[in-house]
Amino acid sequence: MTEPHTPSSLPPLTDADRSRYEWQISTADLGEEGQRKLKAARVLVSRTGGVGSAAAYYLAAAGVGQLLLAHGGAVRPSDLNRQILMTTGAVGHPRVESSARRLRELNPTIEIEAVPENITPHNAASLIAKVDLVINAAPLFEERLAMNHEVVRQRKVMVDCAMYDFDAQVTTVIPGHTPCLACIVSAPPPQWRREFPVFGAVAGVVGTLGAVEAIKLLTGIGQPLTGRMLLANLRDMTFRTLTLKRNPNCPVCRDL
Amino acid sequence: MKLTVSYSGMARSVARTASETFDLPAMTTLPDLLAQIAQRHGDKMAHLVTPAHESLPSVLIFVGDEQVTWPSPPPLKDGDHIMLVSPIAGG
Repeated sequence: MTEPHTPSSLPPLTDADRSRYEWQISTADLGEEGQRKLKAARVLVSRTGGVGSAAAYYLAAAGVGQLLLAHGGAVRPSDLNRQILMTTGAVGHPRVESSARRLRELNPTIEIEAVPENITPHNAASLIAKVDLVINAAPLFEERLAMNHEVVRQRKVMVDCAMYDFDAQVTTVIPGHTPCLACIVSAPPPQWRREFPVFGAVAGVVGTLGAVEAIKLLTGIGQPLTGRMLLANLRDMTFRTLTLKRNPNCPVCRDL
Repeated sequence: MKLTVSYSGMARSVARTASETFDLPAMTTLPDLLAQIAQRHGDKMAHLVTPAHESLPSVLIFVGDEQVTWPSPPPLKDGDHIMLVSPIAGG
């Protein structure tokens, strides 16, 4: 992470923390120190749609200390097949309020900041400055690339998780060390539209993979998808990991 | 030579198949293959695989497990498996 914590600077666990997280603290390589790293972590989830809802829910469950949620607009009935932080009763109300409420119901011990805006080139800098890691789950390439640009500029870590139909793509960006999103997306596919075919269960798998990746990056467990892309086809349940290369002419990260 | 091409993301939607084969002359290059793919699947595929001006195709291309880098793609050989990965952004 940007400012690695030393063991002495990590926040202590309370008895309530130990009770809540005891089933994961026993995970190999995590222990109480890993749980304290999660408690110290600050993560931005943008947006809390089908993918971001699942990611945020599992990060809250895992005890990530501060979650910053960015999502504009009000809940629509058509959100409810996949955006699991939205509720039927919240239709017509801000999505980000429903998201924050559901997360607080799950885990009232963490801090949640809800911003009723989608990421734009205008707000990306200030929002990303508040966090250590970004979960990029926006439905537009322009929004994803705006986040990527700021993540690279601020040298933050980003987990990009995306889906379409039954396909999933997940990769981790560490500026200067891995390809950034602009290396991979040289030109957004011209046919891309914000409204895409999606089952909630597929989006949930992708968001859950993103949460797993974030937990690994925050705690140092396992092998993250740095310089690799997980490609999943859930129609036939095939998973493949491809090695990615940086674009030496990338307009965003070539100078790092 | 016989080449297997598989598609991911929107490229699969456009091709309407996850995988297919191409029988092409020896010495076929990757740009030749992309032209054949575009010809087989029409304008939408052409937009995905054809570099616009001096930029890159909007699909990531892998020959085997190796990502293709431009402007010097590797030569193709009989039996190669080419994968076209169309970036997606569904959230």
